[in-house]
Amino acid sequence: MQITFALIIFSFCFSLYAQDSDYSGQGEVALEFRQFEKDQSELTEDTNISIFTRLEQRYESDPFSHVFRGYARVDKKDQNRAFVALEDAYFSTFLATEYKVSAGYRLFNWTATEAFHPADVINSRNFDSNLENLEKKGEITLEFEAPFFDGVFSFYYFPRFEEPEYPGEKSRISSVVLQRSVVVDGVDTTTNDYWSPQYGFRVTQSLFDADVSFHFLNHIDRNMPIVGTHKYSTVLVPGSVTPLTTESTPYFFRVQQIGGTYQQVFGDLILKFEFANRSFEQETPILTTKSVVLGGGSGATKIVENHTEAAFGMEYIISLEGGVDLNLFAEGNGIFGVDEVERVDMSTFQRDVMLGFRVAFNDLMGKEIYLTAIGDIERETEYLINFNYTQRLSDNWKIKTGVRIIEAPQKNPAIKEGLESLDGDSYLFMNLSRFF
Amino acid sequence: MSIKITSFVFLLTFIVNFQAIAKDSPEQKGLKIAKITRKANEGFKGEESSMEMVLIDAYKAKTVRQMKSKVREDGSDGDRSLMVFLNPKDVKGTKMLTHSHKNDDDDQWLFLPSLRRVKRISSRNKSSSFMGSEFSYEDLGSQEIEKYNYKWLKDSKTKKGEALWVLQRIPKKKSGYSKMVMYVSKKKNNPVKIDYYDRKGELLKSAVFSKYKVYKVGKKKLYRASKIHMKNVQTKKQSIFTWKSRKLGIKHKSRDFDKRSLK
Repeated sequence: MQITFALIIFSFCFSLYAQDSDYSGQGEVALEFRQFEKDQSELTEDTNISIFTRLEQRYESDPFSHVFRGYARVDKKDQNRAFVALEDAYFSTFLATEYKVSAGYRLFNWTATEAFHPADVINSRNFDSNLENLEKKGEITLEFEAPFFDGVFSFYYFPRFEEPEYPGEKSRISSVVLQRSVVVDGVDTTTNDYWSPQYGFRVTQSLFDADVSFHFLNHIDRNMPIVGTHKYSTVLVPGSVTPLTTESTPYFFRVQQIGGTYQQVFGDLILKFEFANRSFEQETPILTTKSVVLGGGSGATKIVENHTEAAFGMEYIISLEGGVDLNLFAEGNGIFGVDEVERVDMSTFQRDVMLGFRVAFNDLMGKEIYLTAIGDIERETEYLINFNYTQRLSDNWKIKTGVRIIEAPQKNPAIKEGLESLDGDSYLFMNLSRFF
Repeated sequence: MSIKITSFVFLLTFIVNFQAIAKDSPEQKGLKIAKITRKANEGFKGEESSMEMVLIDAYKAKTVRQMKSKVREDGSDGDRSLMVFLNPKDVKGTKMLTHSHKNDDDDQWLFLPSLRRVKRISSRNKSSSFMGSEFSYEDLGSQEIEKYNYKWLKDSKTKKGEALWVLQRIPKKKSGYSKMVMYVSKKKNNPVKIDYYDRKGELLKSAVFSKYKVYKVGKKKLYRASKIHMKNVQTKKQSIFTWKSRKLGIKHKSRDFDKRSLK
């Protein structure tokens, strides 16, 4: 928070020096309302009323540029939803015409698909947002870019792990209150030190009608924590693992990831593919909260299994009369190299398909309808339907309203797995935004 | 003696050229005129401009859109352009990068600022409305002559006596139009009016190009319209596209038009 505050002050001071022509700014203030279907618990809030603010300022004077962007949210009903996130706060400059160096907080988007994003892993997420497109937090990054054939080669250095945001105890999104995240880097699981050298590179190329990228990362994973504790005993009860605490902590492990994306245009059809192969550091077994609930046992501890995650998608565009565009989407994903039980623990979307469409009326008010349905093809009756309607009210005002329906009945009465933790958490929402 | 020979050669050349033009079919003549206009408009090197578009509905209510753009001339295979949307505010910062091609579909990418995402898009569907206006992406995109079949219809004049070629242009590939009829100024080598016909062959809209300015790039004089008034005759809606500022002859860097420029 201190770093955030210092950057805000610094950026403000910098903007005073920037000439009008080099400087631009924009922002958004939104009133967000969401109403969940009623549950039986008095501990959780079924209604969220929040104020969301995003600010961006940009200074560009060749060869230098500076970007500052962040957002904040406060919720009247759930104080745990209040947080400030820096997305971008960096300087960059070109060296020797084509070589670019950037330093500061950065937000990346490496995905090629709409709903499943195995290759897009750099930034930590806010897990109290839409599962298909979780909000992100910026990461401290030093980046070097160089032209490479018909594309770019980029080298990244990340000195710090940014902790993800988790829903609080009043949230309908999560039923578990989590402790501060622990980074497992080596065998030291007893500290919360997030300063840890991480690095990677990415190559992007445009080949005919295709965009291809390939990356390698050696970093702390941000998306697949094991939730549990490393504080347990194997000697108190012989043949069993006994937790020494009731706290649940997310553990994030160092991983080596090789991945890539591919997008190709065939007339009105766009094909998309992305994948990631992950090899985790596996020296520290964690006693999972799930194992404790299920009664422990000698095999109760676990490590993150190495695996490959892939997603494939298609987008087809139809132009209708009156300038209306219809985009049809079909996507699928899968986690490979581990069994079904392991897959469910790793991700909410472990073997799913998404079908959807977007109707853009391309009219004065920018009216748009977006509908997607995600269904699990491995686990029975698990689906998520998302319907949005968006339109401008004026040049500055915009309204977005819709519904998210989640159906995933609990199969094991003792524990909720995957999307089951969101079963019964369907909600209506309406966001009224003013842009400036 | 030498004057007589020169006069004879000149006369012979004139007769040969006249016969060649006279022999041209309307299609060949149309293509030749299109090539003349292309050559006349080449050589701008780079362009930087800021634009405003006023949208007028059937009840005369007005809405304003703003954007700025950069274009880099790439002689070998189409131009490269970057358009940045400034208003309405919810799309401010959205960028569209286009690499035009003379024969193939253009390559296009869209930068969505809220997601920080660069998305490859299909350039095939050009009939979509541009920012809710009466202009389509096809109207404002690259007009490479290889993408159309031309036919000269007649010579004509404006009310003020400006000489015109009247050409018919039919898209070779998928388009929102069945044909376009262009009224091209012989002096400016640019259109003063284009009539657009829908897929059913009925007149859909008319664009009037006006407020031409002359720009000098090196020794070359280039004409550019500062205003395009598009009227949809079917819906009665109108859109007026005006250039607030425009500079030609700018030497843009190639990095201004690669995908890095979108971030």
